[in-house]
Amino acid sequence: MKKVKTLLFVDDEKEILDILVDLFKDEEYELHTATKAEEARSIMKKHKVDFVLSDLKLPDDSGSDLLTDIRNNNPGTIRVLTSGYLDLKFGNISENKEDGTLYLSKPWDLFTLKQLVEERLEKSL
Amino acid sequence: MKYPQKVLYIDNDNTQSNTVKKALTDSSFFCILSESGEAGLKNILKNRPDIVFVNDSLPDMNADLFIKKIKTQPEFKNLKSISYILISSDHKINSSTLNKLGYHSCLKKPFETSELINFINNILTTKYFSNSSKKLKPSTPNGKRFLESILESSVESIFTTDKKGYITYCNKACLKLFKYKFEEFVGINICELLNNGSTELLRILNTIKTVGKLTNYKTELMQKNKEKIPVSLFMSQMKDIDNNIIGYLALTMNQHEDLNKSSSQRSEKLAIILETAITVNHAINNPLVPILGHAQFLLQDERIVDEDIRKRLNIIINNALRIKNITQKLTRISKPVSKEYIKGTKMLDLDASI
Repeated sequence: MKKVKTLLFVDDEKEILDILVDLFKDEEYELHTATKAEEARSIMKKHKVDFVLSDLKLPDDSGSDLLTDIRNNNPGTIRVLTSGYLDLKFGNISENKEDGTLYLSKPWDLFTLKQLVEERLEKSL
Repeated sequence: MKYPQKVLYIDNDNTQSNTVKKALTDSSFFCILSESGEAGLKNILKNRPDIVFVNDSLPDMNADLFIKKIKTQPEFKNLKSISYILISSDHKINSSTLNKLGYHSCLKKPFETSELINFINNILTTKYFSNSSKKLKPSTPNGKRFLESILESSVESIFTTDKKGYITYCNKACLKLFKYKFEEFVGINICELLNNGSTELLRILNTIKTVGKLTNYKTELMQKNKEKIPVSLFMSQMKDIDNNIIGYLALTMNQHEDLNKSSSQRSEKLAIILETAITVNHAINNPLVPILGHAQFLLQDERIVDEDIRKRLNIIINNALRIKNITQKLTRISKPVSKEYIKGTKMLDLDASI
């Protein structure tokens, strides 16, 4: 039986989380959302998360620090940092070759994001 | 305690003398009056004035005899710093005649009291600069000290030279700029400061000779450690009361500081723009996520077949992306360039600023 992949989305704006849930709800994913870094850390402890997408600016911490913690504690988790301030064209993804963190500029192209999740999870199998 | 400049006025015309005394006293000078040559000589020894005015028609001796006594009598030997001014109605008297007589200058009669005050101030200034190869003594009377304090308070570098360009005086700002000590700086020729030496000095002096002054001349002057500093140089002739050139007055403005200042102002302006850009990107791009996302969802929805609705959804997406591109450009500004938005109002020229 194929194991269901777990996705975690972290952003303090509920409407953004809703869009992400809408995008993946019909697929075979276990979906989690968090509006704060601490909430995300708590979910990470309880679940084996395969993919996490976090906003850079969170109310209680930076998304960058959150993803660093996740890399240290869960090296296999695919990490995407997103922000309105990243200087990337619509639909483009950038990758930090040293630590493997992916960068996606807001607003994203939904289909680029969906494709990214599918491809990266496929690779990690 | 401050000491006013002492002026001895020797004239037997009491009305004129009293008018002069009142005007000088009102201008903070200490005025002593004498009605005759003999009384005047006694007052010189007693009061040691800074300036002595001698009327050319005194009852007991003429101006020629008066000055001869000063020059020959031993008791006046140590009073060399006094300026002797002839008051005369003879308009033919020139500086050569005066020098032969032994007077420093001549005040032509009739004169207004304001003319007299200006005349005295000119003499004191000239005396100040002609004595300036030595640092002024702390006990220098009020006028000189006042003049020195003005020069020393200046944030701009000021120095004087003699006719050949040898530095005769400089203020503190000058020493700071050129990194010299006073005793090192005074006596050197301005050629040593100029990047192109005597050629440049000759060019400067020719300009001053032609147009009377040198203004905002951009050059590089050398500090003691031979480091060059960009300056704006202003120079003018210093003349004595007979209009003879006695040297040059120079003022230098450090362009390096101005450049740093304007560069720092530009950096501050850029920093504010970039902070604004971050705020705008954060504040605009987050709401664009649901706007774009929902529009994309609707376009994917098979139930929406109406072409007009699909066209409108595409317009929403395209304009949302246009906003994203503009906010993104804000973060790439490296040199803000303005353009006219409407008459009298400017806006950033985004493409030119990147």
